[in-house]
Amino acid sequence: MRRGIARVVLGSLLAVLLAGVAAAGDKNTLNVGFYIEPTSLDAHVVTSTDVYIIWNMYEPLVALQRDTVKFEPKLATSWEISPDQKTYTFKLRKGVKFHDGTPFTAAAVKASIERIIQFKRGSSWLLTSVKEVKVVDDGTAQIVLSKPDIAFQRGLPFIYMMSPAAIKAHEEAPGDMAPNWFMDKSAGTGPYKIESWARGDKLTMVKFDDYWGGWNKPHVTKVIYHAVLEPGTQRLMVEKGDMDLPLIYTADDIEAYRKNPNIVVDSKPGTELMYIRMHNQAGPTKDKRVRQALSLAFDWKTFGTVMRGNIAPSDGPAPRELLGDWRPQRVLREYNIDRAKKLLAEAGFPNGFKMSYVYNKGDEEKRVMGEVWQSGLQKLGVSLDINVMTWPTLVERLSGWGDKRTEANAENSYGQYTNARIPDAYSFLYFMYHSGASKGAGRNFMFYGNPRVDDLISRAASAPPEERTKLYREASQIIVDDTPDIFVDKIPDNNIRRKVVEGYYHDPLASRSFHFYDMYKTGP
Amino acid sequence: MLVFVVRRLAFLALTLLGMSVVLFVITRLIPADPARIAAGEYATREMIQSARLELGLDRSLPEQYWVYLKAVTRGDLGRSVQSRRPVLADLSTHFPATLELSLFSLVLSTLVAIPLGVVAATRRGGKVDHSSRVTALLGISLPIFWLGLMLQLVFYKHLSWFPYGGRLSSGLDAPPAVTGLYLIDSLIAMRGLVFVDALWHLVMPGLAMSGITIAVLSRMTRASMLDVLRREYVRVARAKGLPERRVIYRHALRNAALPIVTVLGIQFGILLTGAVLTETVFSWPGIGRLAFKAIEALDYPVLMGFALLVTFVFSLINLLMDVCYGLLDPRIATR
Repeated sequence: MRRGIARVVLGSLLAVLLAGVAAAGDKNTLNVGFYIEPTSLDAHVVTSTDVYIIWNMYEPLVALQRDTVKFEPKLATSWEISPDQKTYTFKLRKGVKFHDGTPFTAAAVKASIERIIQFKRGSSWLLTSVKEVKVVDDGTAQIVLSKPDIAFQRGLPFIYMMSPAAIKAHEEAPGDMAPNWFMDKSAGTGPYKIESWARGDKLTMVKFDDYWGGWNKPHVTKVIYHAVLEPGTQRLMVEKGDMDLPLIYTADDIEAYRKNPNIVVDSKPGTELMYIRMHNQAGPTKDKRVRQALSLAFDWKTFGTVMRGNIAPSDGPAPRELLGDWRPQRVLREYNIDRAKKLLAEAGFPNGFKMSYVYNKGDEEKRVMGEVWQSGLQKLGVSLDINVMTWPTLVERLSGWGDKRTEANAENSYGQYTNARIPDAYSFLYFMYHSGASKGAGRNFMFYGNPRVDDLISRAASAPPEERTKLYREASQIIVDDTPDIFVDKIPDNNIRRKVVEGYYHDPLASRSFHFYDMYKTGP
Repeated sequence: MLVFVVRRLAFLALTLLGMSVVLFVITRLIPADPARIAAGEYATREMIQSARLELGLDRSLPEQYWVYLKAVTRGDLGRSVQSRRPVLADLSTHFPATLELSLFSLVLSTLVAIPLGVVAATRRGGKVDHSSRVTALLGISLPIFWLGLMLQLVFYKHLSWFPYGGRLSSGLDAPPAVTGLYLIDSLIAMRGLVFVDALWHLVMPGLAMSGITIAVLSRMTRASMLDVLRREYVRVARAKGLPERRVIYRHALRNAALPIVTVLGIQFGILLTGAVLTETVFSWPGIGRLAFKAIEALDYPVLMGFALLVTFVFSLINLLMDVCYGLLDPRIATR
């Protein structure tokens, strides 16, 4: 009897083992490691890296052309902007179905935009000037703005269309637009839909059979995100073939991946920039000469070595990709203690001073950045006090300075990453340097303010494209001359994948992102 | 006994109330604005204000607490600031995972540690005694994190005996939730494959978590047994000519059990609430990771819910331990 039970248990175990092997060896399934597990998958609520998951399930009217920052048709086949830049008319693609089977029409454009505005979350900051959405006919939608708005125009690829029928069907109270149902279900037009999501464990997306783009080319048909949030475990899974695309890794892991013949490590400079930002209105760094001196004390070479060469030179305030392949002159990338000493003495600090640097918990590179800087500053007699806090506390601490504006209340410097939230230099220049971005929206946490820069950025926002680039360039050059920041580097987008994965391309805007529809596997 | 339990339950309610006040004040003292977090990075002032209104953060602190308390008595723990999902839903999907893992680890530890402690005590100075000391030392000093990774390296990567982590293999659906414990739910649903698969997934995280419990429990068993074995009634039992096994397991172990139960209870509490590391390494969708995520994002409602749950569980374990004492030693119950 005992032996019988043992046999059954062993048999089942064997079956499970074999099943496990079979699941891992599936050519049509792509296994991905989460970078951060999302809290919601509602296309109108998500921000940041979660967007890169949902754009496989939802589509915008206008999308970015593969590998560029140019627009191409998606759910709109063509569009027209009125000369006053306030009316946008979209001709919609025919024969497109939502995951719930209903057809995509102009009513969906209206419902989606209204839903985003009503929720006041996610991408609603792109829609602040929307006055009205008109359904001209089933195949034509018109959006009217109260004023020309660059955030709307360039943010179009992040306005996702959702099925109005599904919104209606899953409302819990009339007019609440179904905030709960969409957290873990999908009703978009994209190639994949959510099959299941066991929070903390796995998110499974499967192909949407009626996708308008068709399934004639090689495509993965199933994508599983694993909530494996430990780099060591992701590496084990990749080495064993159970994971195709790891998203968390340390510098050691990258080295190991590079040596593995079955794995491709593909690094390209992204558009995410890393800065050390210095206070512009409090403490010694009020003085431009001090800021320049402190910049000269940052040892780029050492930093590069510590980061194992895993960085690229920064272009200045905004990435060159968004300024028409242009970078400002005189971006300080020099380590020169003698010159720094001279500048400090000129500014009245021959013996240095004490100052603070803060960074947020979790971003180790920012700590490293601070420590490298600290050792350079020591040579100037400047002692740097490094502190760590959680991101929300840091934001509160820095932006809260604007309420009190006392010297004692100010942190002197902090570490910052910023990425392109929309495919336009506006997402850097406005949010980092416009004086309007120091409270509420934006990240001008060190209170940089130059009326000329403010004016150029504001004018650029309603200027035609070529003119806009010119204004941006001018603003960038002034910012570089003012040196509010140390422009440390550009964070590379490391794509690590098993060799069997094909069809990947770097998205210039979004590090660690995938367009699964273009991807397929050549083997298990 | 009944009066005792009722009194303890009343006390438990008071503890929870006190705890909720303390937690509420502490979470509100942190210098950061949850409305800003909820509204997202690029939020305009308007968006932040609307989030503040929605979360009720515009009211005074006592008022906020009163609203919260009223909701809690209705069984509503609020919504997560990040996901806007009901906190209760989050807790009830994550807690059973942790409970299952902790129970498994506790059973595993007990099965190993108590015999180990008994043998170490009865054959003091022998091989088992020495090796139990080494085991305990290793168990207590090996970081769970490292141990977990080593287990994965050997048993997942090289030997392929066990999966990397998670609760079930891809392709298997969770059994319909009755208790939330997959082992039990799969039996209820008569799905043998799910049962075996769930068990298979429990082994490595369970082992990694058991190290400390085995260490503490085996040492405690040994010490307690040594103490009891010196007692006169044990000598009497031996003198009566009872077989040695019976002397040890019936007479000595039962009397040595009180301190062991105490340790078991405390360890169970620690396992339930301190599993963040194990859960991270083994991608276990438990409550530790949920809390960790909530701390990073200053998700007050989730943190409050977590802390209240932990307080509740700890108090409940204490109560159960007291009841166990009564069962093991009738003198305690009649007192």
